[in-house]
Amino acid sequence: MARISREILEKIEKEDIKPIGRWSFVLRNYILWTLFVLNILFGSIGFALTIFLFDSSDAFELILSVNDLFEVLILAIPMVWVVLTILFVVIAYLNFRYTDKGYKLSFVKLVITNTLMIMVLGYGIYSMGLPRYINGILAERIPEYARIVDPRYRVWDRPEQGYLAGEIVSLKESLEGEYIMIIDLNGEQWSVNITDAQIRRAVSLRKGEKIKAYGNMFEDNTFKASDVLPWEGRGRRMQEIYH
Amino acid sequence: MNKKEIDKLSDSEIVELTIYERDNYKYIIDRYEKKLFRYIRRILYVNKEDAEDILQDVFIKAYRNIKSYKNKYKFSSWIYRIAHNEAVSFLRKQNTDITEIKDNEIFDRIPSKNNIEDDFLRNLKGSEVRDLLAKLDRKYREALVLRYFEEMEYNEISDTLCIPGGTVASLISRGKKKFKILIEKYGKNI
Repeated sequence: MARISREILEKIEKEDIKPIGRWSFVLRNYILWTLFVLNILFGSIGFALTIFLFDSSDAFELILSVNDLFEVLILAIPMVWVVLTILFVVIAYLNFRYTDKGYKLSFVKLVITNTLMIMVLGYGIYSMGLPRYINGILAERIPEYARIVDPRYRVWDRPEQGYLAGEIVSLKESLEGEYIMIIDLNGEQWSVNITDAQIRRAVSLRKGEKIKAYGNMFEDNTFKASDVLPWEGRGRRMQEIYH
Repeated sequence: MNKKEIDKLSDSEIVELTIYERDNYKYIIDRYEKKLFRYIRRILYVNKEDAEDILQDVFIKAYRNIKSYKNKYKFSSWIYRIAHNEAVSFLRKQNTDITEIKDNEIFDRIPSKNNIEDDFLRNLKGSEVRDLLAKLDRKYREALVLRYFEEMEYNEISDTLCIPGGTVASLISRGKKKFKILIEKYGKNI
């Protein structure tokens, strides 16, 4: 054994092996903690956007009025943000796992802790109204973001099932009733009868406004609405019959 | 410094001395070479030459990373962790695990005992037990070796293997059960 000891010391001397500086270990740990915090933050934003987008799809609003609730719920889940949030949870786990004492917590405990942190922080961010702002910026800057990520484009782009959304291009009132002309999410024009519809207070029915309508589709791109909701938000506690 | 003075120093103190003067590293090597050599042989089931090569890599790596050691933790756990990592790396390079070793007549020589716990503890240092341990999965083998051969506490094993304390307890418990099954399978006299 004395031989091994001598060989090791000779090798260290001959190859001029030097200890790695303490700063590099401190830096490594610092980087891991920073990445952990950033991933928790990104995960929280992801979770906040998930709640915001799910909420804005009106899946729960329609709970009493639709027969295809399960399908609506599935369509309303913003999968891109759900996947990204899970990814941030996993990366945060890996970051924490490789910190100094990261191995002390079991995988399950660590994932539950990270998930809870992201949920609490995410709900806080959602309550502050930040997701609307972030989502707006992303939709503006990333082509096709809204169509791919925003569940409203899936839930409210099914006129055959009674879900229609679009931008009001004109309003018409005649003896037969009241109509709005809209350009839907695919660029098609529709005549929507709103005579007997419940119009949410947040809807102002003006040209250029984006709305969602629930009702029945008829031939020749005509639609009879039973409920007209704002594109953004649901107008809860503010609803009233238009007439 | 004479041997008596060195013996009085803690591992952490020798680490500090090593950082200021490279030659002091020999005191660390003197303290740990035999223990680590045995540990490597027990968990890897390699020949003497391979064990010595691995041991050399362990001490070189430990020297390079000596400034990452924090004296609030036990030095033994720190250096055993490096040995564990080198052992895993050795197995990876060999692309094998020692449980692939074929059955051996040695298992016929395992002594008969009624109480498996006593059997395990009493014969812990016998070469038959070492051969038998080689049949266990590495995760169980390492936990048992650290607990019963190196006589480490659960928290030290946790620090060495970088796993939670609960997992250590579970590995040791399951490892003992599997060890019992192995004795029943290979010990003709039982």
